[in-house]
Amino acid sequence: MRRARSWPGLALACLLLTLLSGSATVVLDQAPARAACSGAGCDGKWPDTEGCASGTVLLDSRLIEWEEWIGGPWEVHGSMMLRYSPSCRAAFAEFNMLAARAEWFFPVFWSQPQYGGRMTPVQHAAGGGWFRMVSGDGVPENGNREVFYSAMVNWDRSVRVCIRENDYLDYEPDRPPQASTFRGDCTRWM
Amino acid sequence: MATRTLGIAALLLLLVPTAVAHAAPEPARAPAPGAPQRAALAKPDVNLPSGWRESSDLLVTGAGDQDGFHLHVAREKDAFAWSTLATLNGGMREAGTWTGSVCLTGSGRYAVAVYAPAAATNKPALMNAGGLAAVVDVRTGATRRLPGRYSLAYFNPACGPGDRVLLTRAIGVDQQKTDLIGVAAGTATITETRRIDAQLTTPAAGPDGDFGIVRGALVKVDKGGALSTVGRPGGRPYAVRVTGGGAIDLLTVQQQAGGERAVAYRYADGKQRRVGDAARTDLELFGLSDGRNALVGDVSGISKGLDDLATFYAGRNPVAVSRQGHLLALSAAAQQRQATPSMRVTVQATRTGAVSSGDVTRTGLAAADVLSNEIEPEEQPLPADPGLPECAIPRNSLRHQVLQPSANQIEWAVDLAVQGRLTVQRPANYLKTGLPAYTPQGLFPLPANSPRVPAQLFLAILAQETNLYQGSWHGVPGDVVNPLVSDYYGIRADPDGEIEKVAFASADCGYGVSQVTDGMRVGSTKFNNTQRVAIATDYAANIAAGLQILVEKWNQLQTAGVTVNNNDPRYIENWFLAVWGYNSGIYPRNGSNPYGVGWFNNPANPTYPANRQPFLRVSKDDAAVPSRWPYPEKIMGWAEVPQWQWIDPLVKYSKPLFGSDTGDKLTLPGRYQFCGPVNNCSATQPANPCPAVNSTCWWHGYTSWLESNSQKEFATENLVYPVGSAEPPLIRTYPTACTPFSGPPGTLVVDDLTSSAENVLCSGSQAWGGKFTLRIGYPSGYLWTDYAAVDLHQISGYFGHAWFTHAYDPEVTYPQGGVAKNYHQVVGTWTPNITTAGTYEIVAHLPSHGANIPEATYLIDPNSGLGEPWKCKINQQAVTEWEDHWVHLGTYPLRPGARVQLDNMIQNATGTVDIAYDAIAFVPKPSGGHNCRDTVS
Repeated sequence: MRRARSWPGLALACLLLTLLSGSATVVLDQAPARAACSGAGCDGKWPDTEGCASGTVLLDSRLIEWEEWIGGPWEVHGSMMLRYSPSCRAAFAEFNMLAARAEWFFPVFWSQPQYGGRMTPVQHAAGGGWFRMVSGDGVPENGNREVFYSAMVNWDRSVRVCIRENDYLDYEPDRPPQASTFRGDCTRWM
Repeated sequence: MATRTLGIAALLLLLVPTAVAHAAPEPARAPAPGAPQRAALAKPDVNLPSGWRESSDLLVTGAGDQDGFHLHVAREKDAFAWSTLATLNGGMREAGTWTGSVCLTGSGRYAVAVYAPAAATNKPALMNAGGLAAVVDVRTGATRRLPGRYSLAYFNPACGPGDRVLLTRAIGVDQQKTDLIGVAAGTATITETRRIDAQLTTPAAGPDGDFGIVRGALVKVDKGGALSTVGRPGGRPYAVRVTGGGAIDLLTVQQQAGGERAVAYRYADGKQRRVGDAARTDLELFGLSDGRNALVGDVSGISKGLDDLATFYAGRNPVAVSRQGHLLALSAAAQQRQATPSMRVTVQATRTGAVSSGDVTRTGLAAADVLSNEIEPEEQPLPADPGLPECAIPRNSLRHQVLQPSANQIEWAVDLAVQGRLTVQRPANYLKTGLPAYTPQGLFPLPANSPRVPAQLFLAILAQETNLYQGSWHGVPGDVVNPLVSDYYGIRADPDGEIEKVAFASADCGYGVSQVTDGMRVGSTKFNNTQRVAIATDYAANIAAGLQILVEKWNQLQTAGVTVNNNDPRYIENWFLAVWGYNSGIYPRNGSNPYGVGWFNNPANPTYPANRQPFLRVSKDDAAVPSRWPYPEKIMGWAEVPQWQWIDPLVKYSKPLFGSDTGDKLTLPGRYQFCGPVNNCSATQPANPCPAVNSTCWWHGYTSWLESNSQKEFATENLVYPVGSAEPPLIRTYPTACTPFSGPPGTLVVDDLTSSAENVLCSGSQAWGGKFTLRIGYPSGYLWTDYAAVDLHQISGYFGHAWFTHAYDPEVTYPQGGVAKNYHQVVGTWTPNITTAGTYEIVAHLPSHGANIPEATYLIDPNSGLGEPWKCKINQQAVTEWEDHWVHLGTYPLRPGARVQLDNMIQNATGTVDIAYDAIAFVPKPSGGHNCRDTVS
C-alpha cells in the first residue's frame, strides 16, 4: 500500500504538469557548439543545451526508495544527484527515475544567496519549468528509466536538491536528510 | 566584538554612542586571566557594622555596554563583593551600547529594570515609549520580561515599599498623556494600566495607593485613573517615595532667597511638613528595607528624628543605596577599555565614610530576557514573516562595505564641511560601491543662504548620535564593516508580548555618523542611488548630508522668527534651538496656531530631573544615563567636553574657543528660559503647560540668557583643518592582512570573498580557489534567516574581509517548557575547487579580531561518501591573540566536492563570544603534512 494517500487528485495533476512541463519534447543530450555560460550567466539555463552537463563533479546523491505497502519491502525507484560543472561554474540537479514512479515525486532544486538569505527554487528562466527530461520516452507504461535535469544556478550560491512525496507546504527543507521519514529527502546543502 | 590588548600600549574598546565618557586616558590594566575581580570593600570589620558576615544587606545596580544592560549585586555578607546578576538586551545584537535604570523592590527580593539601546535616547518616540522592562529575582537571577514598552525617564522604574512597582509610558509627542502601569513584581505581571490625561512624573506606589506629580502638584491616582491633589509643594518636584507606613517624602527644586534649593517635604496625616533643604543639586531620595526612606547627599540642613527617614552624608549623589544603608554606590559604569568586560564602581561605607573604587569583572551571561513563543517540544516554531527590508542600503552586502573612519578624519570632514569646502574627490567605484566619481559637498552642497555652523557644534551632534562611528558598532577604525543603521530590522515586541519580532516595516533607517534618516527608505525619492549609497558608506558624504539638515533647522527658525541672544550663528550657544529642532522637529508658523519648538526637549520639562547638573560638566558618567537631559543640553555638553574615541593613540576633537568670561564653559540657558505666556509655562507656576489635547506648550519668540551679548560670553568654533587640507590618514586599530597566502602550485585559497574586486582594503588579488558560502538561521533559507542575520557582521580579515557572529547553544529551552533548535545558526562552508582526488594540507586564516571562541570545531568532509567528517577543534582566541594568524586544520585525502564547515552552534555558548569565518587554504601535500592545531610559522 502506498503511503501518499492524502494526495488530492487535483493537486496531483498540477504537480505532474509542473514536473513534466519540460518533457513534451524528448531531447537527448546533444552538446551544443557554442561557448558555455559561466557563473550567474548560467542562471535559469539548461545544463545540456549550454554544454555544462559533461565533466561534472558529483557532489551528493540520494536514493529514492519506496515502501510499497506498510511493512513491505523498500524498493529503489530512482536517485537524485547534485552536480557541479567546473567549466561553467554552475550547479544543477539530476533526477533519475523509473518512469512509472516519476509522477509520484516532486523534486525541487533549491538555492540560497551566497551569504545567506531566503531560498528560492531554481527554474528555467524562459518558462521551461523546473526540470527537463533529457533521456527517456515519457511513456510510463514502457517501464523505462527517465532522466531529468534542473535548470542551472551560479555555483557561488548554496544549493541542494530535495524530493518530496507531496506538496506538503510545511515541509522543512533544511532538516538533515532523514531517509526513514518518507515525507521526502534532500541532498546536503553544498 | 570584544576588546584587545595592543602590544605596546593601551587597551582599546569599541566605544559606542553616548556610552561612557572618560575624563582622561589611563594606562592599560588588564586583569589577570582567570582572576575575576569583585571589588570587595577593604577592611570590612572597620567599614561595616559588626555582624556584617551575617547581614542580609545588599545593593543592586546596573551598567550598560555593547552586550546589554547588566545588573550587578553586592551583598554585605561578602563584604559587598560584586557579582553579575543578569544581562538584559532583549535579544538585540546590533544596537550599540545599552542604558537603563534599576530599582529594588521594598522586599529586596526583586530588581526591576527599564533599559534600551542608548541610541534610543536620540529618538523622542523611543524616549517616550521605547524602554524594555524586566523583573529579576535577586536570589537566582531568574528573569521575566514585562510585555510592552516604557518611558526612558529617570523615574522609571519606581519601586514601592512592598513588591508593587510603577512604570510610565508617555503618550503623545508633547507627552500630553501618561500610561501609569502597575506591576506585581512577585509574579512579574501587569496589574493595571491607567491612562491619565496629563503628564505624570515621579510615580510612587504606597500602601494606600499610587501617587505622582501632575502639573507641579502631588496627586493620588485612584483605581480608575482619576486624580486628587494631596499637596502643592511649589517649585519643580523631582523625587517622590512613599514609606511602608504611608507617609510621602518629596523633593522639589524651589526658588529661595539665595537662589534655587532642593527642599524636602513630608506628607503624613494630611499635613505637609518641611524637612529641610540643601543646594539644588545635592539631595536625592532612596528607599530602604522595612518601608523606610533615605535622604542622601548634603544632609546637614535636614532635620533628624523621623524613624522612617534615614539620612546619609555623601559628597556626590549616589546611584544606589543598600537596603539597610550600609553602603552607597556613588557610581557604577561599564569599562569599555578593558580586555575583560568589567564595571568600575565607586562606593562609600556609611559607617566610616570611606570611599573606594574597584573594577568588577562581568560574567558573560546569556541574555536573560529573550522572549519566546510557547511551543511544543521538538517543534521548531515559525516566526512571523518580517517582510522585506525597508532601509534602502542593506546590511551584509559586499557592495556596501563601510571603512570605519578615525576621529581625526571626522574632525577634518566637519571642519571643511562647515566652510563649504568638503570637496575631496572620491573616484569612481570608491569603496567598491560601483558609484560614479563624486565629491561630498558636490552631492550635498550647503544652501546659498547657509549660516556658518560652528564646527564643534556639529562634532558634538555626531558624538551624541553615533560616537563618531560611520559604520557598525562592531568595527574599530580601519575595519570594513556594515553600515551603521539604526533599527534596520525594526525589532519590536509583538502585541502578545511574547517574542521580539523582526518587522522591517517598523525600521527607522537612520544611516551613518550623522544618522541621516529622511530619504533612506526603499522607494523614497529624496535622494538618488549615488547619494544614498554615499550617505551609508562614506563618512564625508554623510557629514555633508547631515550638515544640510542642521542648516535647514536654523533657516526654519529664522523664517519663523524664533531666535535667541544676538542670533549670530558663529556662536555655539545660539544653536540651542536649532539643535532642539534637529532632534524633535520645528513646527512652522501657520496662522495663529502654535508654532516653534515642542515640549519634549524643553529644559523645563519635568521628565528631566530639576536637580540635574549640566551634561558632562561634573561627571563623565553622565553619558551612561543620557535620558536625564534634553537633547540640546546633551549637545552643548559634548561641545564643552569633547568625546574620546577609544583608539590608540587616543584622539578627540578640539574644544571650542570659550568666551573669556566663562571659565572654559558654555553659557547655558536656564531651565525656564523657554517658558512664558506663549507656552503657558513659568518658573513660579510649574506645570506641564500642554493641556491634554493641543499644542499650546510649543515655544516661539525671542529670549536671551547672556548679559551683554558680548563675545566674552560666547563660545566659537576652533578649526584644526584649514580649507584645502588633504584627508588625514586613517589611524588604524589593527593592521590589514593583505599578504597573499603562499603555497606550491595547485594551492587553492578559498576566501570568504569570491573576488578580490570586492575587497576594499587590499591591492593585489587572490585567485579564486573555490566557493565560500554562509547559511544563516535554523532552518536556513527560511523565515528564521532574517532573525539570525541580525547577528551576522562584516569585519576586516584576510584580503580585507571576514564575517563574524556569536556562538550560541544549539538548543533553546523555553521557560514555558519545550526545546527547540536555536535559530541563531550560521554555517560557513568552504568548498575548494578540487577536480581530482589528492591529499591536502588545510590551513585556516583567523582575523585579528572577531575570532575569540575557544571551541571552534571545523568539520572536514572529504566527500568520500563514507562515515562522519573529520573534526579539528581550534581555540580561535588562543591562535590570534589579537593578531592575524593562520592555523593548521590537518592533512586529509580529499575528493572533488570535499569541503570544510564551521558552525556557531556550540554547547553551552551564551551568544556573547565571537566566532569568525575567513579564508582557508588547501595545499597539495603528497607526503607529510601538518596536524590539526599545528601553528603556522
